[in-house]
Amino acid sequence: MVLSWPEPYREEQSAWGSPVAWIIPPVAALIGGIGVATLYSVAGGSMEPWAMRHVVRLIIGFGLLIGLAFVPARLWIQLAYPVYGLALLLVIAVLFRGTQALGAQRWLVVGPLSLQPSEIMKFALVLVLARYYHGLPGRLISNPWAVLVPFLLVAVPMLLIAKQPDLGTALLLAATGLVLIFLAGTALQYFAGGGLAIAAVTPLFWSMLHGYQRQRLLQFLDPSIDPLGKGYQINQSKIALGSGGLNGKGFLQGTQTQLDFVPEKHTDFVFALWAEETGFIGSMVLIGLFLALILCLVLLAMRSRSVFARLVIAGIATSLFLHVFVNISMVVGLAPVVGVPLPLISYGGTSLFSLLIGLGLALGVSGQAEDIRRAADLGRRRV
Amino acid sequence: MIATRPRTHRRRGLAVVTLLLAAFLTVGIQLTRLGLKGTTAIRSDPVETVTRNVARPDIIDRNGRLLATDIALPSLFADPRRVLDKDEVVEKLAGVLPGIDQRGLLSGLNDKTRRFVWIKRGMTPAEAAKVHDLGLPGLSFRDELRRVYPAGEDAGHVLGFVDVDNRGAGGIERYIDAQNLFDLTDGAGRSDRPPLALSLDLAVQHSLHAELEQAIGDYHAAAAAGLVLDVQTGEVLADVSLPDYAAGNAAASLESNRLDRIEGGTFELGSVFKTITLAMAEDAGVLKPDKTYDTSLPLQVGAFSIDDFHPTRRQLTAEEVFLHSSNIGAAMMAEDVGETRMHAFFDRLGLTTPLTTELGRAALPQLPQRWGKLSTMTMSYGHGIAVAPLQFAAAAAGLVLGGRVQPTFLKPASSAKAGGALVAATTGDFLRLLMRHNVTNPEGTGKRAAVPGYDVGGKTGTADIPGKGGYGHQGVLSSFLAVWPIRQPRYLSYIMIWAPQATEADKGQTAAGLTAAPVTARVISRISPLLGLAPVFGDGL
Repeated sequence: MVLSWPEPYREEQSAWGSPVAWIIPPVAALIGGIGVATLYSVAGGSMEPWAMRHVVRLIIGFGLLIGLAFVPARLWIQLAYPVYGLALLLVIAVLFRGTQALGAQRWLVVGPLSLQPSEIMKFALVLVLARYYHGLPGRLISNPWAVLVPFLLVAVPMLLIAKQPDLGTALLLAATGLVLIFLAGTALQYFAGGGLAIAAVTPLFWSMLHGYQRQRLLQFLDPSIDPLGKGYQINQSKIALGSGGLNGKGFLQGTQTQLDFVPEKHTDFVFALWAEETGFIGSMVLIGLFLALILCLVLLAMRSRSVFARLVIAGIATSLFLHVFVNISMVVGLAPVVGVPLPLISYGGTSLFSLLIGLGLALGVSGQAEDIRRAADLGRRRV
Repeated sequence: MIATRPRTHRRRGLAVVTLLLAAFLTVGIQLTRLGLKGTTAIRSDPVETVTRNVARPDIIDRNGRLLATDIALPSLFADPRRVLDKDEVVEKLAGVLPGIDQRGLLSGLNDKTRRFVWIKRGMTPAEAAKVHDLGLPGLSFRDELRRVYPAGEDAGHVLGFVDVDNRGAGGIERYIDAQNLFDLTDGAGRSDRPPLALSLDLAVQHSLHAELEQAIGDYHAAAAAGLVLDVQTGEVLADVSLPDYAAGNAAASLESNRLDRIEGGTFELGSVFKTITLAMAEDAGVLKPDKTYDTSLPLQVGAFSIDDFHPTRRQLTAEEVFLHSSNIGAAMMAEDVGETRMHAFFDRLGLTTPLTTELGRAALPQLPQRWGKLSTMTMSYGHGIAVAPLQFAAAAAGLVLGGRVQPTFLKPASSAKAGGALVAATTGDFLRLLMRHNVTNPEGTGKRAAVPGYDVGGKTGTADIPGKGGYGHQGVLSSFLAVWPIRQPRYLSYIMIWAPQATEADKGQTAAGLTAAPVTARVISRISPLLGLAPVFGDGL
């Protein structure tokens, strides 16, 4: 290991007694079920072409979740730096060897698998930052050199991903990293300074954006500029949300989305269909489920004793929150259209797997594995 | 230090959780807002837009003859989820609707996420009856308005075409859409707007069409085009460009050789431009009664040499320059007028900016990059400048009339006559006299345009067609500008023939005087009675 930590890592012991760890998988499954129902409805009441595959992916994803819940934090601490290095290599590789889709180079094809290295980077970054702060003595946290390291750990992959170009993921990555640096206890002056620096480089950043990226940001500010062009998605989605009323139009009855008025209705704008068919109540239930999931992760993080576990879980919670928040904000017209899927609901394997893997990782580092092993030992001794 | 860390952690954690809850609260508020708004204000009924038809007004010619109308025809569609056996549907439909895209239909029916797939739009009632008798579940008909052109063969370029949703996509049809002259109707109800009357006269249009077709055959020409303008009102009475397409035939309109040569193309028109040059010189006062132009030798301008097509090799008066169509003389006049005044004059005639009519914006004129000495000289006989023929015709009409003429395809003219004096009245008189002499004088290039009983005046134009390797390999563009009755100018025609081949009768000549001029004479003698213009015999002609 490159860096050693001052005190030996102590296994978590608390989570066994905490009910939150046991709430997470069922809530995730419930949200996944809503995803299946919504995709069934989007297809006009058919398991094909989306709902059935969503089910299969959910089953595989929950397998991964359960498997990862047994991987202890110890192992991740050892793997954090190598995983980050590998993810960085993949992100670089995608710039040179990636496949293009819709003008962006985001996918890497390895044998039968096609994967998005930026998704792997989301976890790698959380792991590496948690690992870094885990090994950093408390008095050094706000040391300028010690702040520079995590800054670079965040900035390098972010710029590489922004270059793909995948602005949405790059910004989510940066936001997750910043939250972790904040949670680690870095002095607030750095954030104030960073804010000023961002204000200074914003014009430069604007000039570097692609035409469509600028267009999206502009049309977010006023979607009615071009109601049939770029503002179409937002306007139609708002109409869908509004037409749902309190109780919704009923399952399979959403005209806006069923009749193709809302674009990307099975991926980024899937929330619009759910909201139209189940109304205000349904939307609030779904948002409540997401909130519950996130709060469970937050509680899990706060109960963790080691810095590593605390930051890993907090990072995963942040990432989940950002996805949910950015996606729903986009659909309700509070944020620009940046192409962020709604976790567990949107059709697409990458986002579904990465979320379930993330939850598994969180449960693993929270000490579940240890507790279960101990419980098993206990049981054996009783016999 | 270590003791303070958990406290920092807790504070920071709480800060983040607070932000998180605030974010969720924002989303919740926005959802509430949209929900409250949605129950009343934002409602859209997409089914309504699907059943809507575009009902277009009829198009008639200036005498009320029907050029275009809507009729309701059945269109066939399928609901893929109600179709029991898609293979059977495709197979049986192919039996009664030959030429249907079977693979496309099958993939459309396979897509169970769709509830509506068009199969064939605008079928005949007989076809619809056959499909109906197949008794296939999941198929239905919906009446749709389709555009038909009862007299569309001869005026395709003017009438244009509509797309599959009955929306105008070319010609006057596009104008109807641009001006919102159509209605959206539920079901296939016809528009109850008054018909749109065009300036075209169907009889004149047909005569011109027939004569130009005849000319293409006679001279084995590549293409021909012509127009007839009412110079008093600017109304276009006929507008033909061959090869053309039948109105409504959108596919054919895309073929490059069927371009609208009257509006959509620009050409170097050659010596007909001398009408402009002479009028310009007269208006600028550079023509003196006793002034002659020495055409005994080609004119040298730098490395460039200007020579005459019909060389006389002597001193010519201004009138003789016109009659013999002397390039040397015209170039000298342009030099006398000067670059600045010439540019201003062309601007005033509207030759330097694209002409706009109801058919849209005509092609952009191609002008010299800088108005130097050489380009003014070549432009004096119609080279080095390429304009749309309608644009040239409008400019010429303005000169003989003395006032600006704005061409229009509607009756009455949609835009008020542009008006405004263009040149002195005496300039118009002078030009008309020249044009008339060019036809009556046995030495005039336009003598074959003479029509018994009508006082026609005109000017020939024989321009080399530019192509790969420069001029001289593509044949010539022969054209003839005519105005009649020349004393009280009423009608103007401009006839063009691309690359006519030499015939025995014409002694191997392809010049405009032997091709476009006699065609013009035939057109004038054929359409004048249709326009109510009786021939006058006796003195003065």
